Amino acid sequence: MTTPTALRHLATLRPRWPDWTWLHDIDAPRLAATAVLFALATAASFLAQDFEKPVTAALVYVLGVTLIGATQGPMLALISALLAAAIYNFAIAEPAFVFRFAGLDDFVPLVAFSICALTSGVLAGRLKSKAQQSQRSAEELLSLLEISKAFQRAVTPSDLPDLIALFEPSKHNIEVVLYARQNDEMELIASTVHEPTEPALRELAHETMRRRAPVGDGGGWTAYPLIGAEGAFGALLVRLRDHPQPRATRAAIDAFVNMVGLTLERCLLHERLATSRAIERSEAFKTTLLSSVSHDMRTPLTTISASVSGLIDYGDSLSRDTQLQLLGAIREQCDRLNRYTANLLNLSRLQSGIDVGRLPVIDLIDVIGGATNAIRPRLGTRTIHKALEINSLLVKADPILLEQVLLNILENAVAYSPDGSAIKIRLTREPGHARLEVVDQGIGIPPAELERVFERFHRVEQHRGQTAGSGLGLAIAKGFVEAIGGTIHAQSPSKDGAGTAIIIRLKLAETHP
Amino acid sequence: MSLVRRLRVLLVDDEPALTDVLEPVLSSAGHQVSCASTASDGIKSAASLNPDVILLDLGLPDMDGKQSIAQIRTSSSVPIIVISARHQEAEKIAALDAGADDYVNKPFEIGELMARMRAAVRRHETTSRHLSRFKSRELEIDFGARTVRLLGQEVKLSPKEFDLLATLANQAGQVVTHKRLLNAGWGGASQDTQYLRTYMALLRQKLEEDPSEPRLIVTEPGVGYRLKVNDV
Repeated sequence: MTTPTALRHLATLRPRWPDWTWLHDIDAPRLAATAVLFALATAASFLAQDFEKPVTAALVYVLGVTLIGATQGPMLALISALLAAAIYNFAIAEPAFVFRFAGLDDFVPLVAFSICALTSGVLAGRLKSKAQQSQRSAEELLSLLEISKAFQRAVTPSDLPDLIALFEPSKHNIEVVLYARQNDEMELIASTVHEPTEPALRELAHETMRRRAPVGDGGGWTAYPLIGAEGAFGALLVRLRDHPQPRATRAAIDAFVNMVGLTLERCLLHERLATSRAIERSEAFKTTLLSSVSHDMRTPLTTISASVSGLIDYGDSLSRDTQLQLLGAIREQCDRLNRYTANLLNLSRLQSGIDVGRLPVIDLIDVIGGATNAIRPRLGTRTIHKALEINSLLVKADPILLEQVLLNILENAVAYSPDGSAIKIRLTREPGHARLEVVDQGIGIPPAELERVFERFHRVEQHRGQTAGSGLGLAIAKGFVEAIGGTIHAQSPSKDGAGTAIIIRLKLAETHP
Repeated sequence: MSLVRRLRVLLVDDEPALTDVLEPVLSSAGHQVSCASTASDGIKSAASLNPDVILLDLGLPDMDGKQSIAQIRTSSSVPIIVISARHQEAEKIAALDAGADDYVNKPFEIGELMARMRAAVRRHETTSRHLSRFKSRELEIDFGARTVRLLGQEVKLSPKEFDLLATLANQAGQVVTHKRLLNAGWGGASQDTQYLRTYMALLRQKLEEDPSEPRLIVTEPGVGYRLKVNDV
């Protein structure tokens, strides 16, 4: 808890007795103001003398001196009181314009006047400087609160240099160097020193962490260990600048060390948490990938292995047709393994990034032609209907990957739609864009799944009647389409009333004359 | 392969390429094969076709594998052999606990698959007759007299070793889970497979030609043990 700690330290920031700082409070404007007030008081005092008794004049004078103390501080009040006593004695007390001590009768009022003026002036002045001091404390408290709020918002260690600057080392006349231990290395997090004498400071940081107590180097630097739940995790080095009036008290520095320590600990924890989350995500991805690879490799391998062992062990008892059927199955499953491998490779290609600048300009009609030719052997009794914009639509894309994307979408359409149904491929021009749509008459996608079908290894698990894909196809489609600045989304039921539509929009390539 | 029994086989798998291959090969080996591509179809066929053995894929789209096994078990004691491409031990154990008789990893060879089918069917029939003897090429067990002969020679076994061997022989050719073996040897008092490993090592010392390369009692890693059967 940064704030209460800071508050506790601030409570100790009260000036200690004796405190002569108020002696420094004299400057030209204050002198002028004091002179004006003093002149007014003197004038009023002379006027008051005309009313019956000189005691009125004395009271008016004391009032003037008190006012000076209250507004201009104790030092000026002291000077004014002495001056007033002199003027009172010389000019006001009878006989006027003569310094004279006729007897005890004259002397006592004069001493009384002097003591009154002095006491009330100085007391008022002290009150004034107390008020000023507590106002300064309040301001300092407010700024500390502001800083501590800012510190609480910090998320990474790299936020700390700005925060330390916010504390205004220059105002507090301190220099600051901050280290954190990361993997047994001392890492420099922040420094207000232009040329940090690094090795020596690093050594000091090590020392303070080892001793778990503040350590000085004799040259002005003091190192404070930052200690958290798991021991010392860093060090804050502080040096008071050579300055006639250093303002950072020990308590303020303690508060500062505390605040920096808590913030840095929190930032480091936060950073570690983020790292471990990232590792977790990548582990989860690897697990899914492995499970997908093992399943999607083994499924075709099972058919191949069963066919081969069937041919070897039972070949003689199999009819010629069955033998051919088994051989055909082997070829088909080899193709499937090959396609799956290609998709895995594409996935890794996508992960390593696509250089959009070097993509060639291609005609979408050619891509559609290639993909439909590739899917045709697997259509069964399904049919393909094409409705294509006749004018060529040119886009910048990798032709092989884009054909793979379309093939993946067509494979899904085949896998999830019944025999005898139609699959439509539509290509239309929109302002600046080409719109490519594959619509099937299949089982469709539940609304909750519409976004998720593009996630890696996601499969719509319900009501799957046919060979399912690897869960990679649409993920690759999305990855690639978005990498070249296009969009892809699924619509189910499609505008045609049933099934699923996968809609791709690609930016048209600029054709220069 | 003489004396091949004609079995009614129900194959439940959603991979058409595989059923297209298994069906003709199993048929040509003399079996009668029916196929289902979903768990619900498989459960219906199990009831209506009264098969001798069911080959069940664990990765069916419409139902969890354990659930479909349990459903079939509510009305039938037909041998169920699980075939699965996901080789997680926990999944296999769960399937066996749910009532499956054995499992075969994908990819498999048809010869191995058929041997497992025969073992499962044979065991299914012998349990209903309450076995008093077990006999394979190497091994002869008299359950009543609690004696064991290896290649004609009597082998002395401790009571616990005999119980474990008898449990394996009762399900000869099929995997027996750690849990079942622990129940047989220690009455469920111990869940520590370390004991089991120790006793299996002792059994192997007495029965195997080379205990480091067992041919009779084979380990199914993470799942249990299997007594290999070489037909008489």
